[in-house]
Amino acid sequence: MAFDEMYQEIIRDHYKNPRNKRPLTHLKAVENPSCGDSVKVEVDSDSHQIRQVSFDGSGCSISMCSASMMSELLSGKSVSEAKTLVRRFLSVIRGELPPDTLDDLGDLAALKGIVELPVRVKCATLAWHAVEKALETV
Amino acid sequence: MKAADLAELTTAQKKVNALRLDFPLLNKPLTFGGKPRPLVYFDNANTTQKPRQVIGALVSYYENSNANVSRAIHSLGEESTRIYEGARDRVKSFLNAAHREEIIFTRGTTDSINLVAQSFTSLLKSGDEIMVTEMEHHANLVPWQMAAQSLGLTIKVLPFTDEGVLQIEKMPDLWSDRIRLVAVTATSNVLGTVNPVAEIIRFAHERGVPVLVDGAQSVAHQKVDVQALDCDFLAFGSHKMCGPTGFGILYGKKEWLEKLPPVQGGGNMIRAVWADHFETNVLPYKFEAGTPHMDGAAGFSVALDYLESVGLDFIYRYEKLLLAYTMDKVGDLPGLHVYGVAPEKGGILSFLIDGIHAHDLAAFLDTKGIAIRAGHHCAHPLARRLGVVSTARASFYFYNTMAEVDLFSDALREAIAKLS
Repeated sequence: MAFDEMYQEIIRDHYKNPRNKRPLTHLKAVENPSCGDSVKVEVDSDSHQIRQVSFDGSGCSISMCSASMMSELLSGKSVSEAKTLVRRFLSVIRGELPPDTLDDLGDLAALKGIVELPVRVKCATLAWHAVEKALETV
Repeated sequence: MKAADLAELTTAQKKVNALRLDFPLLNKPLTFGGKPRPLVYFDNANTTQKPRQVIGALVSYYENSNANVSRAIHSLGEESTRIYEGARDRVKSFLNAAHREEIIFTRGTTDSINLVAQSFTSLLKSGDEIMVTEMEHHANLVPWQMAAQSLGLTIKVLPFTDEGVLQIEKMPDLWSDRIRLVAVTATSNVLGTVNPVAEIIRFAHERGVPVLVDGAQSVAHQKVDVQALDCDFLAFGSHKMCGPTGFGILYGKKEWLEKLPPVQGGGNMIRAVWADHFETNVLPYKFEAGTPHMDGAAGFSVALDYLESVGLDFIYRYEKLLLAYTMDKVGDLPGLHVYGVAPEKGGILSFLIDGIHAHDLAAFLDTKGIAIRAGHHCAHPLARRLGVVSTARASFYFYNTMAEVDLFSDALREAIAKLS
């Protein structure tokens, strides 16, 4: 899939108008050392139920829209459901599940093309590795 | 740019277009963004493309001459050794070094600097100091930091201005009698700044201190004469100058190399070995443990022939003109920020465009067949000094053309319209 196609309105919208993005100065960022993109993720939840997932950070359109979409998808989900969704997303991006799996994950379907762009995979997964870590301590 | 310069650049296109025919990858039908497009390769500070002459030398080495060097008592081994040691003579003449033993073959610039960092610093004591600059590539920074950590050395850093000019006027203030070595890049891989290395060497030598020059971005682009420059060490790699990857050079003054201990043990670097000790081999073999990169040497030798036939002075002049032409084409783009505007500058353009992340810009240009680099360019302290996380970088070599710059300019305009 060409970059132009991938650069759909949906990605642009999340990049320009990120959801659940707020300053998280108290957290340590997860970084992609090769490009300097950095993201922080906070999970507001009790031991079973997530109230809200927030993020903060800077980076390219792929890393930031992926974080925004992730926060939208996981907010309101149960912790175990969220863990399953994170595993599913990462499996698709790693090429272990078919890209169409993302069709069930709302706006994230727009990131299907990333699978074919190995250099951008790290951008797309940055926030997901951060949330994976955050969910471990819930 | 001046009309006379533009005319000179325009005239040079004929020569450049003829040279381009030597590069298979620049003439290959490729597909970008779903359409057949020519490759516009503007990532030369990262690595350069290879002419067929160099590729041919690699193939020829394996088809005609392959045997281990220095230790095979047969004709093929002699032939291989002749090619390998012939490459040393070739590098000696390319650099105008005084002795062939001053040319050490390594894996590349990084390997060359690490060799000096490990060997030279083993002679130092806690509290001794190494001077570097704020515009160093990690390869000319981290090896010194590693030595500093293990030996208790201090790193002193020479800063640069907002324009990207090294502040050598600050050297006297930063200087101390504990400084044992100055390590400086000849040309910044991000800013493009060509540093006044000769002046730095003179300053350090007046105080009895040797200088290592990181030539990764300079030796490929301008004539370097190590005797005229009087550097004590010069590190550079083959792959940024039309040669094979995994091969590089450490030039070191004989008197220094003789003093320094080897850093890698093994075959070739020894004269004699007993069960509990060894005797070190003579230069240059002392620093070349193990079977070397023989095809690399064969290819690099031909790469140097090629560059000399193009002309190092032509290369330097041409890249400067092409950069000036590029600035004329894109300099006034809305939201463009250029990093590094030193008066003495090579063909490197680091930039950002408001509202477009460097990675997104690089990915967009790739759909147009234009290869640039985006990132921190292995120079974190420099990026921090500039106040940026990453930048986009277009870097030229003698085979880039005005027509390619025109495509680049059009693509940037389209990116601004579509992405910002």
